[in-house]
Parts: sequence; C-alpha cells; structure tokens
Amino acid sequence: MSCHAVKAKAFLKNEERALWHDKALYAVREKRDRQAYSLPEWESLREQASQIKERVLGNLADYLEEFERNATRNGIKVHWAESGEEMNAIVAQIIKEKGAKHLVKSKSMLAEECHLAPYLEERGVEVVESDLGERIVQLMECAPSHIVLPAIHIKREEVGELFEEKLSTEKGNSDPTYLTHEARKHLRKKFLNADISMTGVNFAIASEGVFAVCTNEGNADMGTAFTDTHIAIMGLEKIVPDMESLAVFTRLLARSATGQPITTYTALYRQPEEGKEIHLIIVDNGRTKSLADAEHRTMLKCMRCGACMNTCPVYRRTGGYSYSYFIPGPLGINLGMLRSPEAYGGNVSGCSLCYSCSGVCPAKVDLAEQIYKWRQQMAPLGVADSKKKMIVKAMNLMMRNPRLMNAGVAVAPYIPRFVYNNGINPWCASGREMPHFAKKSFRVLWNEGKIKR
Amino acid sequence: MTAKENILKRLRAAQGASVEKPKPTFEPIRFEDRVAHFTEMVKAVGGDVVAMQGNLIDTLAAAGVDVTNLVSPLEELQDKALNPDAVADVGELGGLYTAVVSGRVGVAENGAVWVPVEGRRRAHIFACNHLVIVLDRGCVVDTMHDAMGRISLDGLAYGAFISGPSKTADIEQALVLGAHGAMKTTIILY
Ligand code: SF4
Repeated sequence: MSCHAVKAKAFLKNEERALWHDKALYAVREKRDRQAYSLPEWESLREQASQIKERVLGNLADYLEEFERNATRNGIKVHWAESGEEMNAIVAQIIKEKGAKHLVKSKSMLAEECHLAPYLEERGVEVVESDLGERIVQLMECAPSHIVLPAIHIKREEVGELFEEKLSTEKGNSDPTYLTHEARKHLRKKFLNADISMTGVNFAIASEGVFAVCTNEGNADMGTAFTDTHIAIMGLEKIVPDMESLAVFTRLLARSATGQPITTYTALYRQPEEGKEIHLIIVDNGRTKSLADAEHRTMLKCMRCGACMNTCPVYRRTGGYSYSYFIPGPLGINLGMLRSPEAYGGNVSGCSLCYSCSGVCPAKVDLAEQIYKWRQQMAPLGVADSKKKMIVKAMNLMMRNPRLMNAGVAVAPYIPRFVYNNGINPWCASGREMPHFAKKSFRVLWNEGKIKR
Repeated sequence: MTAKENILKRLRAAQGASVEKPKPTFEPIRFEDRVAHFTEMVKAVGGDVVAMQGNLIDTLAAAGVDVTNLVSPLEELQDKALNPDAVADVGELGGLYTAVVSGRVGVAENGAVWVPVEGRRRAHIFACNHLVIVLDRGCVVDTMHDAMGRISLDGLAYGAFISGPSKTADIEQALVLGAHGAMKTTIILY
C-alpha cells in the first residue's frame, strides 16, 4: 500500500468526520462554480492568466530585476535567498537588528515550506499566526491540512475545547461567532504588542515595484499597520508584469479559492509609512530547478487558490494529512515530486486521474496530466512500488500472449478467492472486495454465439 | 557571487525562449445599471450602501453611527473627528470608533472600493469597529480591469481594495463577520 493509502485509512476511521469534510469542501467547490458561471468571460480569463504566467516564466529574470529596481526606488529593501535556510537567516537577522521579540504573521505557504516559525522560536522569538485558521492549528500544535482553509479538518467542539484551555473561553461554548470574536480579542492584544510583522506576497507587480497581499480577515494589514518593520517573503514565481495583469489575477483568485468575488482586502504595498521599514525577501528554494524541468515547470504558474484540492475526490475523502508533503491534494502531489520523488513519491497514487483539478485551475495548470507524467517517470526514477511493478509486468506478459491470457481467464474462476482477495494484493485495500471472475469470459460467450449485436 | 547573481544566472539558463505578452482576447462583462449592481454586491459581501442625505455628519447619524466617536482624515469632519495622523498610537483608541475615509473607485463586479491612504498612517482603517467609505457614484466602474486603469499609485505608500467587512469561515466553514478588521462596512454614495 502506498503511504497515502495507509494514512487515508486513519482519516476514514471517523466516518462521520470524513463525510463532513467531503461535503464542506464540495460546497466550496460549488460556490466557486457559481462565481465562474456568473462571468461570461471566465474561460478567457483563465486562458489569459495562463498566458501571462507563461510570459512571466519565460522572462522571469528580467521581471525580477525590473521589480527589484522599482521596489527599491519606492523605498522597499529587497533581499534574495537561494534556499529556505538563507531566507530564515535573513529574517532572523532583521529581527535581531530591530531588537524585536514578538512577530505577528499572516499566512504564508513559503514560511511553512521553509519551517520558518520553529526556526525563529528556537531563537527566542514569539511567532503568532494571525489568520484564525492558522492560529487554531498553531495552538493545537498541528499542521494546516489545506492551503486556504488550514483548519478544515477540525470540528467546532474541538476549537471550543482548545480555546477554553488557551484563551479561557466559556466552558462548552463552541459557537463559531462567539469563538471567532474571542479570538479577535485575543489576537488584537497580540497585534498591539507585536514589534515586527510578516506577510506572504500574493502578487509582485514588476512595473510598479508594488506587492499585493490578499486576505479576508484583514490580519495582514492589521499586523503591518501596527508594527514598524514589515518583512514580506515571496517565492520568485509570484511576479505579474503590470497592473493590467493584476486585474486578471484578482478576478480569478478569490472566485476560485472560496467562491467570493474578491478577497475582502486586496492590499497594495508600495512604500513604508514614514519612519517605518519594509523588507522583501525573494526566495528561490528549488524554484529555478523546477523552471529548468521542461516537463513540469508549469507548476510555477500556480497562484495557491486551493481550488484543485476542493474539487479533488481523493483529497476530499482522505484529508490533508494523508499526504506526506506539507501541501496536499493535486497541487501537493506535484510540488512534492518536484521537491523530491524519493521522499514524496508515495503521494502520486493519491489520484484517480479524474482530471477535475485541471478543469478548475484558474491558471490552467494541467495538474492531472502532470501526475500522469510523474507516474510514467516513477520507474526510471526508481521510486515505483516494487509490488505493483511486478504485477504490472505479469499482466503485461499475459496480455501480450493471447493463449496465456485465455488460459488464465479460463482457470481464474476456479482459483480459491483467498489467493487474490487478501492483504497482499495492493488493489485489495480494506473495504474493497476484488470482483468475482465470471464463469465464462466474454470471448467464450461470443464464440458460443450468446452475445447479440 | 551573491545570492541574487546566482539566482538570476540559474533563471536565465532555465527560463528558455522569451514569450510574448498576451493581448486581451475578451470584452469584460458590462452591467446595465452599474451602481445598482455595485450596491447588490456590497450587500452580498456583508456590507451596506447608503445614499448621502444632506451633509456627511447627518448621513452618518442617520446610518446609526455614533458621531461622537469618529476617526477620520476627511477635511469635512475636521472638527468632529480625530485625525488619525494626529493620534500617536491608534491602538490606544480601543477600537470601538467608526473610521470614515474616502474611496476613489467602486467596482460593480465585486463590491470592492479602492481606498488609497494619503495620510501618514493607516491603522485606523483596520482597527475600527465600523468602516465608512465615502464614494462618488460616478466613480463606480464595471470590473477590476476598469478599476486598475483608473487608479494611480504615484506617491502612495499603501492602498487597498476593500470589499465588505473583515470576515472568516475558519471554524467549520461558518461565516463570521469581524475577524480582525471592521465588523461593519458602510459605503456612502454621493
Ligand atoms: S494549481 Fe491551480 S487550482 Fe491548484 S492551487 Fe494552484 S492555481 Fe489553484
């Protein structure tokens, strides 16, 4: 069994929760559909976004230089980091220079990718996640299970208990409105107490040297407004050429992510406020390597909306923790493979090749085609499941040899079931029965004239 | 070599042939009654829209705003509101006030309003309980394409498209208004 299947088993033990997870995410997918269908130009927009990203990837070095020039002119301090470790070190250095102790941060997948929070905590910095979902998983000491909805796997009663313990909320009160407003009070204190803030970057606009941060809660803007130093971190693929392109992406992002027409706050940061500083770190951490991979560079077009997860029948039914890479779903399967096929090859089987993800992706990333390609590349990479490989080899031999095939089909119904309907057979996961072999094969029935045209 | 030089070198080797910038291939949606659609969208995202009645302060009072607790950089409210740039620490105001700011462009397709911050500080826009944005109804456009064409970033430190009040659905996908920023957002159209 692949590592994905093993972990999925654990998730599926709680049937009620698994069902809720599936439905909740499908409801988000349906909201996305309603938004998409309300715009006659939806498909053209996706195509446009995809082509803009092609343009960006083909001219990335120039765009990054243009962006840096303009941002520097605006008064933003730009840093470059080749790896996650380098990024973390730069962040720690800035914090040290400022003598800061309390960092309030908004959601950033890049920070997760580089394990930034534990790195800073080890150095005595308090790191407070300010997005409610992120704060919940942080207080629970677990990882986000979705890139846009980090706490989608957690039930309200659990949040109630958590807050009771950590924020002293009323016993037994698990009303989402009550809990959210209690978290608001708790985090407001953290915002006012923070001495440094961090955000991710949704889009970096080359022609302006400006970057956009999109949130619904306003937590990124709250954090940056109350602190004197703002550190923004971005993967180097976050570039868009100009404001015209930004229009295209802001029309697609929230509609695809949560089925909203736009995020509540689409903030454009151009210059630090008087007496303050903005530091922006441009991070590679494997992205140039992905760009060099002609087969799979298209993954760099992703704008992290999460739509491919919400629509994925495997993700919805198995949860974010079934994947071994920190990003789950079709996106995570692919990014994990780009990171390390050896480490994350087990996720590739967590896909039924239904292609639904490719159909919803606002940047037209062909996620399913990419997973299919990886499957073809697994054997040469030496990371294919050896048991499956053996079975496929045997099937290959049989199917190429009609005599062997016919003989096999003829005796199959007489083989005792336990021989193939058991735990050794990887297709025979628990809860799934191998089908019974028919007494007479189609070929035999055909030859006996029993099949009517 | 510096990190920047290494990265740019790798990028130039990896990015392949230059690709042309695509031309827009579609006509964005147009609304018959832009202001009506804008109003509908603001309400759909949890905000409210009211028309200016007489002067601003009367309109605010009519909209149920406590006009004795205002923070605003607007000229018109100079003697009625605290000027955010004159407040040393907005955080100390306690967050129960109403902030009144001016919007420059309204977007019919999503109910967002472009709010550029022209003063020195912007914390009041987020730390308030109720955000009121004053907007010229003639500045409502159809889509983000039109909006981007209308806004200018020159000289600005910061600006935001704001669509309704702060919100979250992080607990079991139940929508809750007032996650961090404004609990309520009202657009006053004049
Ligand atoms: S791959 Fe596409 S659908 Fe998936 S998160 Fe990225 S942009 Fe969204």
